Amino acid sequence: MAQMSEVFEGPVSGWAEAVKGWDHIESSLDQGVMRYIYDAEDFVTTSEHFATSVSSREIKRPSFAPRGAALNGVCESKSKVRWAVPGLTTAMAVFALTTTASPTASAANGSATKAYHQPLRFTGIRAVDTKFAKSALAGLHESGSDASADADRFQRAFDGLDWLPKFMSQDDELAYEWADADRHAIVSFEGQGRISYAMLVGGRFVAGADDNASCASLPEDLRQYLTKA
Amino acid sequence: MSDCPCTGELEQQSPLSPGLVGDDEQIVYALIDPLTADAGGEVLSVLNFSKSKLQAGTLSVCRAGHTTASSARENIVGALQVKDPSRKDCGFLTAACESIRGIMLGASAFRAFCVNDAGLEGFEAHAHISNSETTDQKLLSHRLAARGNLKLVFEEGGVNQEWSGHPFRPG
Repeated sequence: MAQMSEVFEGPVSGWAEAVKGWDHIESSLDQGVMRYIYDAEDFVTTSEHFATSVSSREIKRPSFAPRGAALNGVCESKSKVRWAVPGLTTAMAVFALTTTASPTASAANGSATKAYHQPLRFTGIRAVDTKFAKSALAGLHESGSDASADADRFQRAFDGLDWLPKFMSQDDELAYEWADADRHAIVSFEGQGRISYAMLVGGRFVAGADDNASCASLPEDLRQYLTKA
Repeated sequence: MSDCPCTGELEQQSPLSPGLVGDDEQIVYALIDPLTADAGGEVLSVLNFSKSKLQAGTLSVCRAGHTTASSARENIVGALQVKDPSRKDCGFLTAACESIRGIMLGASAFRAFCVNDAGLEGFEAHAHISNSETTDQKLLSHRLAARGNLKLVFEEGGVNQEWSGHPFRPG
């Protein structure tokens, strides 16, 4: 049995709400930095769900210690977290997950640095079936985030599209973004069921045509933009 | 640029500033992972141009002509790294103030952004980009598009990795 300690940076208010119910994780929030400690035996499961919100996780100076060991035996890591819907990101199922390191491997070679590179594809929250994800969702909804609920709802609007967006969050703004070499579209959640959206056309962004676009459906001009050959 | 309903550009906002921000000034946007850029500066999202900060009129930028490169780096990157050393300096982007002020809210007659002086003690070159004061809720998508165009304007010149030389004042 070992423990891990991680520091997540980023807007974590929703996250803090989400992990309140995780009684096996000791967490604290200090000046916008989330710290939590959990048993290594939970790591694999936990990692899968954290991975949904981490596009690239780097574990620095990992070393593992038995429960109750001195603090310097605790694994420390920093993760760059692109928070999507706070808390909700953890609830999205990982479609493809690969890791190049494991806690066990790190423990075996002492102080080696291990990097986790986790290509992800979001498949939506309906696939969620674990206690971690359910707790995260419960925390999210209890937090009463208007835009979060709208972002959740909007997932159904792009059901059936072959091109899935990236889920993004920054400074309390939630958005979906589609981007490739030729096209770039973004949907931002304004609260109260409203969305704003814009598309890159002819080298500049133009506003979506629907002034009253709602999170309940994909605006027609955006659908055409995303599905055109 | 007189078609802006904002007043912030007409009067000096900070007594510590060298004056109003001119259209011909070069504006610097620092890339600091994870605050204003991601993935080591390789990824810049529309969201990095913070909606809440633009709404509050506090998106910090720097007036290159009123600072040396080293002072700019010290006052922007250095100050943020003091709070969290893991923040990574990924360089900076520049844009002509005129180009920023030239971004319009769709086909409306309104500019999307204002660039206001916001000089600080020891860093007179500090400035703010803010949303223009137009409040028409129908313009929400136009606001988002404008932020996308703000990103494009800054990206036009490419990323400057080294804080030195042009466009800053000689040291």
